Amino acid sequence: METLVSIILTIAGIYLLLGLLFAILFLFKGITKVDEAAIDSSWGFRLLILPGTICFWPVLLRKWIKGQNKAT
Amino acid sequence: MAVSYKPVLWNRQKKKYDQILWMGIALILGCFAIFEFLLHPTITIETLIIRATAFTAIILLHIILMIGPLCRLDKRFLPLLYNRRHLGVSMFLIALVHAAFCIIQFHALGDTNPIASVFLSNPNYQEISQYPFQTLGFFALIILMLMAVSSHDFWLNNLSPKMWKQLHMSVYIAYALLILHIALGTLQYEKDLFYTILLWSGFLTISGLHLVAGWKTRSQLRAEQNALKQEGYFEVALLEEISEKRAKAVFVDGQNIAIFKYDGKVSAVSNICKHQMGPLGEGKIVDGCITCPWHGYQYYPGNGQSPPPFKEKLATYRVKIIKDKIWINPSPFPEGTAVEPAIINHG
Amino acid sequence: MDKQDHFYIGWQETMPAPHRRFLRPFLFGLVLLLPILVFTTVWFQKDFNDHRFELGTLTEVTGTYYESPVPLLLADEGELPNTLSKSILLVGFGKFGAEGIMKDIQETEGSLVGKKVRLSGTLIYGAGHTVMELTQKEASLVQVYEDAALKTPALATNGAYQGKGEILDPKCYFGVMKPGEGKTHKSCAIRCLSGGIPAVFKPDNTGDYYILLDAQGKKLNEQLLPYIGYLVDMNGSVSNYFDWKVMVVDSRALSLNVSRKGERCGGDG
Repeated sequence: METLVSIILTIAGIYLLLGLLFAILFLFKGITKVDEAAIDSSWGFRLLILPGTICFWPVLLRKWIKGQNKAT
Repeated sequence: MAVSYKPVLWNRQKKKYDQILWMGIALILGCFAIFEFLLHPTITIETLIIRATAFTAIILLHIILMIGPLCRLDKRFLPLLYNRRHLGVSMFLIALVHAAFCIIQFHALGDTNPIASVFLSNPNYQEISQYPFQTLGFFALIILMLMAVSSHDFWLNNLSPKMWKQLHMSVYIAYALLILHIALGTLQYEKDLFYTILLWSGFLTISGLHLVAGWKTRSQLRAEQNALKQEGYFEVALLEEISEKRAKAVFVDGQNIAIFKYDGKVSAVSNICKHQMGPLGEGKIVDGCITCPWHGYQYYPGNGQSPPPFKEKLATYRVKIIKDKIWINPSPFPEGTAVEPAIINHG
Repeated sequence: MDKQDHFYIGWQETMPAPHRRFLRPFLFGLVLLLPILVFTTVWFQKDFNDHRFELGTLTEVTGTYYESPVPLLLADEGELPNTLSKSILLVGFGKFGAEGIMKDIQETEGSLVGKKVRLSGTLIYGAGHTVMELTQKEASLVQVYEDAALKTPALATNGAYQGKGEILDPKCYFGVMKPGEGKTHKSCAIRCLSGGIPAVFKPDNTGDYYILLDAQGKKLNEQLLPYIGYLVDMNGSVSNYFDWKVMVVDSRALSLNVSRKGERCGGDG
């Protein structure tokens, strides 16, 4: 049980850390590629969606990549 | 639609809503602190914070869950729904304070990682009286957190509508977990009957309101469906059965009908192409036109007419959508008659 | 009947009058109901004890240090107010026993068992017992006196006990947490015992407390972890360790002596 909990917590920690790294990049660069309405959006807004970006980064990453592929 | 996202689109109603909300929160927390110090002066600050925030959060959650059914029963409750997301986020923040204090108080500064300790300290999942109620609270908190962090319109647009809705409907899972968290947690220590009655009252109020609202909505739907049947409509398909820009062919009351789904709308025309009787229902909407799979003959879905200079026309049919089900009136309009398409509503 | 179609739109300046007229009493009712609800919720809560944890205040106490069966400082006369017991059970910082800290101190200072020392810590007291947290860890030792070391008194059996009660950790129970018992405190008690704080048994119907030991006179925290939070049957032989009572439980027969009835702890309130 201890091992299982350790493993799950470690995976969760890695997921969230990756989310944080992604969020920093995304909120600077990617967000405007994924959603037009984010162009000219304030930093207040971007900070507000930071926690969600950390949680849902795979969805946003997929959208970002899809957007890149469409552009190329 | 090209307006940039703002953190909050403030207006007078929202400001008033939040003012009243936070005054209410201050009222509950303040009263809790005052009464605790009056009635139980030897309480510690940490216990006070843990209990006050728990009580406030669960009261808020009950109010939040009441809003939906109340609005169904009486539209005058709608102002409570308008800024419900602020209510939800506020409730989550208070719950977070409760959780943080509990984890620090009961699990930190020990020989185990505090979060791991939430799951490991008490592994008695087999007995109700000893059940690790804190894990139930933990998972409820995760759900509430995911809901809070995705409450901005950005998420409505960027998580698919279906995913967003499913995520936010999981508030009911969180509610169930929290009822159990309380029943198997604090109610195992605070045994006065009052608390059991209080918990049951909350639960029965929420369930009761949902059942009544559900019953009312169901009765309304039934009435609508009966009215449709009386007007000669038949239920023929589910919205989700038909792919975007494609069709389903149905045979109703002697009529061979193709039902097309496109651009958030549904139209129905005769299934038989005017050219060589090809199966239009196996065709596709291309450049806004129903296109026959045999020889590419085209027709506007809204009126069954071919685009000029072509003159072919199809019979058209009335369509209604009731709760994701498509109803057709098989009584055809004369060929080329314009019929308003049914609009697909999401939620 | 003239029925106007009042439609609420949140981004408008004001809400339609019917909505306002309807919601005002609803909200007013809520404002009246909530304090009543809070009051009754607080009213029916179990009372908290008057135990105290002097968080933020360090106290220095001179006394004789003993280590067996559990770390304890027997305070000299006059060191503590008369209302407090002189037999100060020592615990570590956080959810840990004092053994680790005392071991580290004694590695530098040599054995302090039976010696007169001055220790600094945070006092915890209630129900006639005193506990002290060595808050500053290794820096808790203020002074070692030159007096000769006293012999540790042997634990002499002077009775037996049989009855029901709850296993607790003395640090939380005697002042750090309120409540320091029952289901809501169970996880914390498990953490504290797991960290080495001695287990204390509190009978359901008397004001006695017993430090629990095995037949070898050692703590049996590990074996007791599955029994925390339950109303348990306990029996064993009783001795005195200064002002503390000690119960020696036959750990080989623990599963027979300590039975889980699945009943809830915390008494009738």
